[in-house]
Formats: sequence, structure tokens, C-alpha cells
Amino acid sequence: MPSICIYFQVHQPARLRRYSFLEDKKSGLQDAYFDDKLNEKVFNKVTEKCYMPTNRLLLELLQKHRGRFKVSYSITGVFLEQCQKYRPDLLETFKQLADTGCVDFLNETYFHSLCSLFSDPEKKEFHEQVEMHKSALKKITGISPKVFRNTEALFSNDIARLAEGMGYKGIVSEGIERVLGWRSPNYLYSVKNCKRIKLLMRNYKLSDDVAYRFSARWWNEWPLTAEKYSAWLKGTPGHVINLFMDYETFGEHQWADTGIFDFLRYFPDYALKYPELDFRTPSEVVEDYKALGELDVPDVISWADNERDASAWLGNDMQRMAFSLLQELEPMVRKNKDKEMLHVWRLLQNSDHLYYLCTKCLADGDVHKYFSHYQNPYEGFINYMNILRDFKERIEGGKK
Amino acid sequence: MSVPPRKEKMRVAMLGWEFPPFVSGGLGVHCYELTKCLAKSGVEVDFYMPRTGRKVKETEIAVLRTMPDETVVKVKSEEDEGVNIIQVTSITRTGRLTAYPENSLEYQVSHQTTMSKDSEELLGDVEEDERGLYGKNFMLDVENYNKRCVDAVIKNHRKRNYALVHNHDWLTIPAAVKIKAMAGLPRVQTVHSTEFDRAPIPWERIMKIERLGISDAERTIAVSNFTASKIESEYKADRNKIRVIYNGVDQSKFNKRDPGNPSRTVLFLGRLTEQKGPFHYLWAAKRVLDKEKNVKFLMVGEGSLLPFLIKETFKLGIQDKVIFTGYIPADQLKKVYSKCDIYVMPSLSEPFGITALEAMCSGTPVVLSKSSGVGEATRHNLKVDYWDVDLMAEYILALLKYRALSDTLTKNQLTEVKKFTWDKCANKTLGVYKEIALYQ
Repeated sequence: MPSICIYFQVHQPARLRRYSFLEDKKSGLQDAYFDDKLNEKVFNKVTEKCYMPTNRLLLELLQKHRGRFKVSYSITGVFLEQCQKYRPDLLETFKQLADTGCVDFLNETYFHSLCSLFSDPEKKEFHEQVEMHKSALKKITGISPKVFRNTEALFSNDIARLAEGMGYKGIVSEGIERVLGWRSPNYLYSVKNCKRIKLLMRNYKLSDDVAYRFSARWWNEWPLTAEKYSAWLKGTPGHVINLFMDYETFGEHQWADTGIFDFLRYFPDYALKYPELDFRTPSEVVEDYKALGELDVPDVISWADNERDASAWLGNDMQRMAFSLLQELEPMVRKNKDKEMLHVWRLLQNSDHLYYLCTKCLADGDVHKYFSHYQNPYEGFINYMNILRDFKERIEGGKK
Repeated sequence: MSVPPRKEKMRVAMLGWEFPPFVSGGLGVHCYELTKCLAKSGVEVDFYMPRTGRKVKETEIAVLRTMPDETVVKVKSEEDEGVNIIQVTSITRTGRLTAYPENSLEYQVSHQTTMSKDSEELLGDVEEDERGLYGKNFMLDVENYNKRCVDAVIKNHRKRNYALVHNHDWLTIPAAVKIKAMAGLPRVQTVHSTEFDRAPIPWERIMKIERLGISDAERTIAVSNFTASKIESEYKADRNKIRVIYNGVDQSKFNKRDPGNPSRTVLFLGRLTEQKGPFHYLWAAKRVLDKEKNVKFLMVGEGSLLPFLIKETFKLGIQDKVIFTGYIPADQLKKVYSKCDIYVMPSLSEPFGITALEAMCSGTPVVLSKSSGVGEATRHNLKVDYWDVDLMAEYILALLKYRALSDTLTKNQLTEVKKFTWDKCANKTLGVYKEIALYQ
């Protein structure tokens, strides 16, 4: 009798503006580096197409099913900031969702950062960002999450230990065969070198049936109905089916005219018709189910691309060079004790900036391109590096 | 119409202008590689070209033979196959061939004065050796060649049973059209460039020939979608008859750049004409040099703009940073590509741009104009609008500054360029032949 555990990733990057070698320096860091106009435009667009209608629909469904339907969110700090700035009305609906009591939240790095991979053995930046996120979320929703979700589901034994050290009872990642072997993603696992923390593995097949394949006409299961999908879930053995996806699946990746909202509207109805199925939040799942075995993940995995490793962000020389420059700046930024400088350095840690530089393979490249506002990864690299170098010069000079 | 049953392989009459060692652009390379690969696929190509004083390069390909007699192809046996080079006497040459009329004196004169029917008169006091170099009268040369070509092909067709006639660019259009009219052979035409790509002010006389050639052909092969769109819009060509086939490149012919040993040299390579964007290159160079002193800018190629470009470098005050090398023969280009850190192709209008592929093969990062065929077909490079010299300069600076950028580009370009093979080009061309060939 599997439980269905749904979690939505909610994030918008702080996109950079074009920054040329040749132009004169602008004063102020935020204005010089970030394209607030573009960020606002995208935020508003996605709010209209996805966030607002989905929030409203979910509120309706949660009220209708009175405790039997549950979902959870991981909302980045960058998103919360943009939301406060551009669409406080949207933030209000997230609060209403939290108030239903059927919505759980996860913690992550505030700036959607890869700081869990920083070479600093103390992982100071990681700890600070997770704490930042915790308090920001608590302030807005009143909830203290029990489950941790690292940026882009980046996961390894070491990362699990970090999360455990910070008091989390569960952690989320990708259920890939490379790690699972013959085992199923539909159970909880313990992690090597950790004591208690439980690992929730994303069922990528069933998740991507909605997130990626929902509108794919080449797919022999198209069109996917709530009825059919619920039957699949019912027939899935295990304790918990983790359906993790980008929140933008609803209305943005899958447009409204694909029928995605109708799918969501009727999904709880059909799923709850089966007595075998119920909905639980990640916090409940880690309380209610035991870990059935131990997984050993020495190398970092993630939920991105076919490789499901860190190569979407650190796969080529450009990405690694930018990432190491970013880290190199940490001691200088901290020494300066300047709040804006620290904040800008952290915004520059958005993993998206590195994701845009991915050159891997054509198929994945296309997904990357979909999310990128650059013409190509090379242009993205030049721009990012121009900004990082300029930022470095400014820190060294001690002036903004 | 009753046709004889055909046991032999498909036989094609191909009308060209350039062939190694007489190459002044992508056209000669294309014909050489295409015919070679077609022969491998079992197509027999009789390649017609102007007679030159020099021997055609044939050592590299076993299947390629120069026919001793210009009009009669001697077929030794039924199994005979490969490429037969048939040199048609039309002009006496001592120097290199050119496919570009702006190199011809007649063209230059006609663009300065009103079009003159008798350019002989105007050319009266031109130096003897200059005449020899380009042919005294370029347009007359073209006309003569086309006439002789018709005679030769029609004569050979009786024995050879050509399945079609395939001509390259406008230079060979009159002959191809005539051959079709006389012998009923279907026509394929490859457009390597249009008059709009070659000349800042298109020459009506040539446009007329191109328009006729395209409307008369059963199939037109364009070297890019960029070119396909151009002939569709400028010549009102029927899109259904156009096939886009990209050029290829022979990777083995190029040296690899040593990324550990940068020369801080930027390369421009092409004819020094308006359409190749040499001025934009210099303007970008100026912006780079304002930021970085230690960079050299190479300009390889010759053309009518040379004196003006030299003047411009003085005006910009960058004369000691720009090196004009003049023409460099094809076999030495691999050295040039591999010794430069960056290849810039700032063309105003580039139908394809094989040189970009050659730079890719050499592991030299490419900055290229968006107005190019190769630009639409590749992803691993930096693309600019040719007029955006600031961005061009920024890309050059970035490549000089960020080793990771140039390393990643080098690596990915070397992989990407593998998809441009002459075999692929020839197979697709063969596919077009099969759409329209006689005796199938």
C-alpha cells in the first residue's frame, strides 16, 4: 500500500545582465550585475501562467479533500526574495497553502547554490545558507522542515552527513539505477556513514511521465489521464512513491492547453478512490516508514540530464574555472564584512549561472537552452566571467 | 522516349570552373572532394573545366584521370569508372584561375564607368602580365568556355549516355542550360554563392544568368538554408526544387593548434572584398588593441580592397599590429590555421564558409558572422552580427583572456566538425541525382 509523496521545486534565478569588457563600470553591485527587468518580467510571466493558477487550484483541492490530499514544496530563498519584491500577492497564496496544514516544506541552500561542493572542509557557506533558508521559511510559513533537499538534488554520503549533522531526519535525491542497483526507489534507505537520516528517492519514471512526457505525442501512453496515472500508482509496489518535479511543470513546461491543470484537478479524486493509496508529506514519510537498506553514494548524483551527476554544472573547463573563481572569492568577501557584497556573491552562486554554460550533448544541450537567456553557453561563460572578474577587482579594491 | 537499358553506373556530366591546383575559393575544394566521393559511391563523373597550362592534381586520387583530349573521352572498358577531367580549351592562362569577376579588369572598369560592350578598348593600355593573370577579358573567357563546353558535352553524350548535367555556380550556367535544351538532360545546379554574396553592388548581367540557371534547373542545391532563402527571395526560386546540402571538410588535412603555446594572433582569411567584412575585422582589432596591446592581427588573402585596408590600419593607428600576408596557397593554410589562436569570419554574407570548418579542424576557436551558412549549421562557436564590432572585439578579448573558453571551444569544435564530411555531401548529392536522373 504505497503512499504518494509529492514535492514541487520552486525557483527562479537571479539572471545576469550583459556585462562587457569594453563598457565603463557602473556603480553599485546589484544594478551592475543583475538584469532586474528581465527577472521581473519572467517572474510575472511564470506567475500568471503557473504559480498563481496552480496555487489556487491546489488550495481548492486541499480544502476539498480535507486532509487526505497533501503536497510539499521546496522554495529557494532567491525565489522568496523575488516573490516579495515582485508579487507579494503570490507569496500570500503560499502562506495560505501553508495554513491548510496539508502542506510540507523542505529546506535547501538559500541561493540555490552548489556550495555543498565547495572544497572548504568546514562547509561554512553551506551551513550558513541552509540556516538562512530555514529562518526565512519559518518567518513566512511558520514551518520548520524536517527533510532536506540539496540544490538540484545533489547528493552523496558526505552531503547526507552534513544534513544529518544539521538535524534533518530525511533527505531527498534521485532514484537512479547506478545507486539503487536491483533495489526499488519506492522505499526509504539509510546512507553509508550516516546514523539516522533517511533517503527519499525520486521515482523518476513516474515523475517524468508528468513533468516531461505529459504532452509528448510520440509517447505511446499519450494522452495521460488522471485515471490511468492513478491506476499505475496503485499497481506500483513499495512503501512510498516519490513524485518530485519542478513546479513550473504546471502551465509553464506543460502549457495549460495540454490539459495539465485538468490532470492535476482530477488526480487526487482518482488516486483516493483506491483504498491502497494515500498521500503523505516528506516529514510524515520519514516518521512512518523504516529504511529498508543502506545505500552507498561516494560520488555526487543529482536529478539533472541523462548523467544524473554534477556534470550539468561542472562538466566542462569553463564551468570548473568559473566555479573555482567563485570559491576563491569567499575569504575576500568575508573579510570585507560588507552585507551587499556578501549578498551579491551569493546570488552569483545560483547554480543556474553554471547550468547555462553546459556544452555536453545535443539532447541535453537543448534542455539547457530552453532554460537559458543566453544565445549559447560560450556567451554565457564570457558574461559570467566578466562579472566575476569585475566583482573580484571590486572586492580587492574594497569599493563597490 | 525509348532509352537503352543501362548496365553501367550512373554517369554525370559536371561543369566546373576551378579544380586543384586552380582554386580560388570553396568552389574548387568542393568539386574536388565531391567528385572523388561520388566516384567512390559508384558514380562516374566527367568533369569539364577550362584548360589551363598546368597539370591537374591527380596523384591523390586513384580514380581521377586527366583526359588527354579535350573533347573525346576515351572509354577503355565497360568497367571504367571514376572521375574524368576534361579540360576545355577556352583561354590561355599562365597564372591562377579566378571565379570572381571583381578580380577581372573588365568588371572593375565596368563598375567605374557605364557598362561597356567593348571593354577591349578600355583595357587597351593594361599591362600584359596583368591580362595574363586573370584572362584578358573575363566575361569573354566565360562565354568561350561555355560554348566549348556545350560542344564537348553534346559530343560525348552520344557515347557516354549522361544521366544528367550538374553545374556549379553562374559561370557554367549558359552551357548547362543549352545542353539541357539540346540533349534533354535534366539539370542539377549547385549554388555556392549568389551575386548578392559576392558583390556589394550586384551586377545585373550576372544576376540574369543566375536567375535563368535556377529557374531552368530541375534541382538546385544550395550550400545552406541561408543561401536557399536568398535564392528564394531574390530569384523567386521554387522552394520545392531546392535542396540544402552542407559542404564537408577533410579533417586529416589539418594540423592541430597547440593550446599550450598561444601566439596571441588573430586570423582573417578570405578575399579582401567588401562582402568578407575585412573592415569590420580591422575595427574590431582596434577595439581589442585599445585594451590589450600584445595581440597581432593577420589578414590572409588578396583582393581589390587591399590598398584601402592598409590605409585604414594607418588611420586607426594599428598598422604595426596588422600583418597582410597576401595570397597563401592551399597547402600552406594548415600552418596558418594552427598557428593562430582565433579565427574570425566577419562576412557580410557568406553562403557557407568552408574556412570556418577548416579552422575547427585545426582546433582554432571560431568567431563568426551570423550571416553565414556555417553559422546555421554549427553551435560550438561565438556568433556575432558582422556590424557588431564591439561584441566581436569582446569575444576576441574573452578568448585571449579565458583559457577555459578557448579550450572548451577547441574540444567541442573538433567533435562537431566531424559531422561535416564529403561523403555525406556526396551521398546527399547522389540522392538529388536520383530524384531526377534519366535511365533509372
